[in-house]
This record gives sequence, C-alpha cells and structure tokens, in this order.
Amino acid sequence: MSEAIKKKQEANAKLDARHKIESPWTIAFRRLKKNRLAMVSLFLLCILALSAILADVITPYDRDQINLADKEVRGKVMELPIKNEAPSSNFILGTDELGRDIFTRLIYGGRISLTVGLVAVFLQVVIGVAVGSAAGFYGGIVDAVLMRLTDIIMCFPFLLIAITVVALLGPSIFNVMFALGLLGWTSIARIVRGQILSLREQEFMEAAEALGIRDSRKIFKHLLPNVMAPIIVFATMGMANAILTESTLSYLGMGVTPPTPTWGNMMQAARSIYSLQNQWWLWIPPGFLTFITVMSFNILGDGLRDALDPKMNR
Amino acid sequence: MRNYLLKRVLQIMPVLFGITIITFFIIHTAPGDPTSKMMDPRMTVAEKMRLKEKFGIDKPIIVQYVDWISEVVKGNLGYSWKFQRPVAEVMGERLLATFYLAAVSLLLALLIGIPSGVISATRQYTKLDYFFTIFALVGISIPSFFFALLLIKYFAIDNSIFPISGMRTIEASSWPIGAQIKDIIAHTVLPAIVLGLGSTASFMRYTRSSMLEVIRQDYIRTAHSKGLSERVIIYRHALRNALIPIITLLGFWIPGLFSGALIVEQVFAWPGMGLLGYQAIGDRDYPLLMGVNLFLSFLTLTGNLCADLFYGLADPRIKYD
Repeated sequence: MSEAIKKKQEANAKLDARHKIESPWTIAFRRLKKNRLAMVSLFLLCILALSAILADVITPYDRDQINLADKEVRGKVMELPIKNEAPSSNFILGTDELGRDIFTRLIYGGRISLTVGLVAVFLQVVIGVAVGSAAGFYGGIVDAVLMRLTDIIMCFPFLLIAITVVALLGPSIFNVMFALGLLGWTSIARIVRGQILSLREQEFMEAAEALGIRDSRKIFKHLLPNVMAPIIVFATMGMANAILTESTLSYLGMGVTPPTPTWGNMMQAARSIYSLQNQWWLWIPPGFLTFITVMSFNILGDGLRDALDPKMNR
Repeated sequence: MRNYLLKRVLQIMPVLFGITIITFFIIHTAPGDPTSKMMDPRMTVAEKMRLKEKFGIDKPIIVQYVDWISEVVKGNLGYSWKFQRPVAEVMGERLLATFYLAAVSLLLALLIGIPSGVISATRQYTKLDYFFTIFALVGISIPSFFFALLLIKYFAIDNSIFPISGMRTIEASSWPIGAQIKDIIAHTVLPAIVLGLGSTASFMRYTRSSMLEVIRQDYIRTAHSKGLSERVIIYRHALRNALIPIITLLGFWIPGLFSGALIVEQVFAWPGMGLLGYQAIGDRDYPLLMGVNLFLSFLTLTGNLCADLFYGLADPRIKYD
C-alpha cells in the first residue's frame, strides 16, 4: 500500500518537474548557456575580472617597481634600470621605458580599465533610468524638458566634449569616469522612457492606480522590473564603449595619467616610431587585451539581447 | 509634408541653442584660461587685466555668451586667438580635408558593408556568414588608434608601401599634377581604411539583420512561388526594403564620421577639422573650439533630420503630420 503511494508521489514529482513554471530569468539564462560564443566571452571576462581583483597576488613585481641590474659602464659596475628589455624568462612580456615589468602593469591596467568602465556605466544607468522613468511616468512638461535635454546631450560631438571636459578639469581617473557618465546616459534614458510609456497604459498599472500606492512604489516595484532586460543589455554594451573610450582618451594623454597604468596610456609607447617598429611588447599586448575585452562585452551583449528577447522561440 | 519640415526645422533651433549654452559654459567655467600661459609673475595686476580684456574674458560669463551668440546669429564665428584669423576661415580650410576622408571611407563602407551583409543574410549559418559576422565584431571592437598603429607598422614602417602620415608629401607642390594626385591617394589609403572599418562593420550588421527580417516576409515567398530567380528576388525585391533602416543609420553615421575623424586625424596627422578641434582644446582657443563644436552639432542635427525625411521618401507607408 505505502509502496503504491510512494510511486504515485514520485510520478507526480516528475510531472511537476516537467511542467515547472520557470521565471523569465531562468529561461534567459538557459538560452544564454546554449550560445557558445557568449559563454566563451563570459568566461574570458570572468578570468579578467578575477585577475584584476587578485592583481596583488598574481603579479610577479610591484606595479611601479623599477627593476635594476648590474651593468658595466666605462669599466665600472653600476646598478641601472633594465629599460625596454624584450620578453625573457624574468619578464614574460618584457619591461617598459623605465624598467617596469609589462605583465604586471597589464594586470593592474586591467583593474583600472574595468573599474573606469563599471563606474562610468553605473553613472550612465543611474542618470538614464532616473531621467527616462521620470519623463515616461510623469509626461507633459517634465517629459518635454527632460527629453529636450536628452536631445541636446545626444547631439554633442561626444569625443570632442569628453576631451574638452577632461582637458579642462585636468586628466585623472575620476574626471574620465565623470565625463563618460555624464555624456553617455542619453540612449538608456530614451529606451526606458519608451518602455514606460507603453507599460503605463497596461492593465496592471490600472490595478496599481486603484490600490492607491505611491508613485515611487509604482515606478520601482511595478515599472522598472519590466524594463530590466534592455537595461542589462545596454549596460553590457556600455561597458564595451566605456572601455574603448577610456583607452582612446588615455592614449591621447587626456585620460588616466601615469604612473597609474591603463591599457590606453601604456599604448602611448607606440608614439615613438622606434618602439612602434622594434618593441612590439610595449604596445601590442595592451592593445590586444583592450580589443579582446571590448569584443567579449559586445558578444555577451548580443547574446543577452537574444536570450532576453521574449519574441524569440523558447 | 511642408508643415512637417517647418516644424522640424523650428525644433532644431532650441536644441542647437541649448547645445551652444551648455558647451559654452563647460568651456568657459573651467579653471585656467588662455592668458594664464602668457602671464608672467612679474606682471602687475593692471597688465594682467589688460591682457584679459584683450581676449574679452574679463566680463561675466553670461555677457560673454550673449556677445558670442549675437555675433554667431549674424554669421560671425569670431576670431581664433591662436591663428589671429576669422574662425570660419580657419575651419573652411580644414573642412575639405575631413570631408574628403569621410567621403572615401563612407564609400568604402557602403561598397563592402552592404553586399557582405546581404551575402551573410542569404547564406545564414554558412562558413561565409560566420566569417563576415566575426569580421564585423572585430570591426566594432578594435580601438581605432590601435588598428591604425598596426597598419602603420606593417604598411608604412616595415614595408614602405604607404606614407606614415600627413595628406601630402612636403615637396609635392612642385610635382606634375598627376604625381600630386597619386601622392594624395597614397596618403589616403590607411586613414580611410581605419575610419571606414567601424562603419563597414556596422553597415554589415544592420544589413544582415534587416535582410534576415525581410526575406521571411510573405511577399518574398510569393516571389519565390512565382518562379523568379534568386538574384531578382534578393536584389530587386528584398534589398530595397531591407535598405530602409540603413537610411536612418546613414543619417546618424555621417556626423559620427566627422567626430570619429578626430582620432584618425590625430594618429595620421591628417590636417582636418578633428585635429583642429583637438589642437584648439590644447591651445585653449575658445572661439575656435566653439566653432568646431557648433559645426559638428549642426551636422548631427541636420543628419538626423535628413534621415527622417529620406526615410519617408523611401517608405511611402510612413506619413508625416
């Protein structure tokens, strides 16, 4: 008797598992897992993030340490910096123009580039979501004013203004984050506004209205969770753009300044024709890493967009 | 249609006005000004004031803005502090170089981007499709200055196939005209490839996704069942519709080319507007910087307007009101 009941329960459990209601996030993640290219990108980005966090542990030298070696100069033995040395077993990616280990600086540079990207995108999302949801939710004059402001900033010649802001405030890591954050929020504001405009008219918002809850609760609890998917996709693609722009600004000398290493300012070494021609280890590794990181964020962003799109067949 | 056009042009005005206000204040409220470089600790306060007066930066910033904008409305962009010549004249000389570079790279992007996007879509999931898709991903992800450096190293330094930088060889003005043209073309190849890569990749991606959507439509199936050849279906029926979204992209992209030219012009020392703007920041040449900003913003706004108008011309289903 009990045996029969057990069997029935098991069968029921199996049936339940098959008809389990999945949350949209589980479905999206399951679909993302099928996208092999996106998973490889995610894996690469995890390694990168891990190496940035553990930079102090995994790097063989100190970040700004100038490595010295005994050299004979006019008959005397002196301790001199090992400048621009090609990769060897001591320095797996060689040393730079001051005798610092390039591999070490690359890892620390990754830490800076990722941090700048994260903070800049965080600023963009906060400003963009605030402006977009206020404009979409309140409409009328608020919408008109906020959207004109968005139009204005959208039409700024981005790079020129970013360089101007950084050049005038003085190149530093904070000013780069600030400039990228303040200039890059317009597209997310537009997306959020558009989504909220259409969501506002749906029945569940009428129900929320009938319950008489506060506006802030309507926005944060009922509207924004429905806009999460495009925000996530934007943030991923935004990381790619922020890292690309940071490296460009730093390469032009308008970004993060030495001795703090970033991939962009390490590539300044290529401004000398001699280094460009003969010392590849000075500028190719940071360029390649920037490229791989930006591409990974772009692929992951594409993958997330497909995975989060409810119109795609499951 | 005429009302729509009028409305849109009237809408541009306040936006352009807003852009000038914000950029003017960003530029002028920054610490330090062009006179600080010329100042000398031995100068007296009166002398310092006179220097500031000469540049018109002794007045309150709002007055400075009103002075500037009232001249701009009359068509006068002011005098460049560095060049000691009218801003419009200085910009005019550089405009042609940037325009030429942007046009060549746009042509390159259209000629490569659109056909490869079409091929990619019609042969979805084949090796060729993967190749183009990866190419497009590389194109949008590689930092343009890094790509430029790689090209310079390989094509200009290791093998002297193309010149390293500039728009023409210094002594070229005494050469026969044919040699001069050849000289300019040789100087154009690398910067045009670098500037065009991002656009090529974008056009490829957009054409592919737009084409994929169109070839699943019912009228394409009808064309197939009518027995039309694949080539006619793709190039006459599908491509025309697939290109409509590309028009919008073009409207956004052309102004972007001018801004993107900043990096390319800096790396290749190309004597264009981007380099001019970049140098104006370094020199704190505010009137020139405002002039370049105004020009680029104006270009962006008209680009968007043209995109909307041509969108309507290409797709008769869209009505303006």
